[in-house]
Amino acid sequence: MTLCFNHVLKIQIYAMQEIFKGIIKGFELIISLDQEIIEISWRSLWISGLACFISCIFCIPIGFILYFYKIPAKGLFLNMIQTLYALPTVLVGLFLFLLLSKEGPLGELNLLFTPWAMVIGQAIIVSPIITGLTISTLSNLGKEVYETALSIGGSEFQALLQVLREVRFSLISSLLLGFGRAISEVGCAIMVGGNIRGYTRVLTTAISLETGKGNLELSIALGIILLGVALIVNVLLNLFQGRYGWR
Amino acid sequence: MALMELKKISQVYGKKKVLENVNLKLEKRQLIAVLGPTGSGKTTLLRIMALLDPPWEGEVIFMGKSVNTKSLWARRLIGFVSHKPFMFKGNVYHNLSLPLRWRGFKKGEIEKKVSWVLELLDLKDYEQKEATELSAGEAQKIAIGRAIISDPELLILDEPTANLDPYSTKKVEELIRGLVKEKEISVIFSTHSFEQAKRLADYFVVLGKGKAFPFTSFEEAHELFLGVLK
Repeated sequence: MTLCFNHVLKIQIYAMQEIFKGIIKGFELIISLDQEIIEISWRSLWISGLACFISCIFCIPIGFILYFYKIPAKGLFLNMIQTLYALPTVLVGLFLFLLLSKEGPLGELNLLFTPWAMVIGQAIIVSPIITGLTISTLSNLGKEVYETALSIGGSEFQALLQVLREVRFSLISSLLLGFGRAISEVGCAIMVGGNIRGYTRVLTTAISLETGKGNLELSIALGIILLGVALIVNVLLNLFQGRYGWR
Repeated sequence: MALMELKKISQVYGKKKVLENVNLKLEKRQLIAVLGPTGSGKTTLLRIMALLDPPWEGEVIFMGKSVNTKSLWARRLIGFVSHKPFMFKGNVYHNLSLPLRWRGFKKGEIEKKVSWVLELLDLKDYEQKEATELSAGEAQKIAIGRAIISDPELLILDEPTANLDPYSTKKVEELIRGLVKEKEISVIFSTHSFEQAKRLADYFVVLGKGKAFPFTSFEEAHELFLGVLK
């Protein structure tokens, strides 16, 4: 019994030491401006950022259409979107892998194991979230704003733009949520990106690789950087909203 | 030619027929009160007149032409203010200038019109105030200002004083009366209050059991209203 307790305690102490070392290592890597870390972080940032941007371009208008217009089987669409919030990233990875592999229907595009495949994968993953949150945002205010705009002589398009203006802050929050999901996903990134050093390796795939190699210290350090990147994006967007009076 | 004419208008919500075969005529410079118990279809009727909702059956004629919710030209000549007006984010100036910007007015003209409306509303210093932070009475007045700034032919007010204190109610009533007199527009408003209808309106429409009954005499309207309530 005592032996077992000591063993558990030793493991816990070891884990705590690793976490502590990882935190220190993380700060060391940040301070030393490690080239590879900067490169991986930047790649994570632009791949996830671009994926969210592309998703927004399609999904915000889709959300508006689903909310404002009468569409057959609308309820079914909404249920599907909500179900896809929990879309397994490996499933998207598998689906894309089959599509983009040499023998697949889109094999000729030669996108498999490129950052572009990762962008497509992440855009698919965040799309249900951005569409669903757009609809949910519109459910709060959308109809009221739209009708007020129509009642003072706005055209349908002007009224929709006014709605977009009114709910923009909530939409940015949805975008941030989508970005959080994109930058933290690993399954799809590994399957369609391949975790190629200097080309498709991002923070999450690097963490996965280093953990597999038993390099827990570096994994934790990369995890801290991943959190830091998400934090910086969040803070920058909030600052931007404050500065330009978006609230 | 009547300003607006409703021909055999019916409206249904689910299986419930809220309005049935309603016929109404509105002339220019009329001030009309729509009376009726809760759920009698006052808001439904006004929303159809404001071209916000299509009727289930019937036709709306505005300035001699058949119109529907897609008739932008007609909606631009009709102002509608709901009983709980929504203020857009931004200051009062932004809220008042929007209808004009959407109609392609130039900056100078917009500034002049906003100043004129604020003076009319007795809210001269409110231009830079955040619209979403206004009191209910102030918001109601700004909403009316926003509806009349583009010189509509018809102003539709859904219970314009429902959420206001007696002082603000008086101010809004004065404003409505002034609009009909000075701007020569027609105003139709719904209300629960007989006193308010009597004070303000020249004509009365009583709604009950899906039907609309127009009256020129308040006493007759009152009598029917009480009958409808029974």
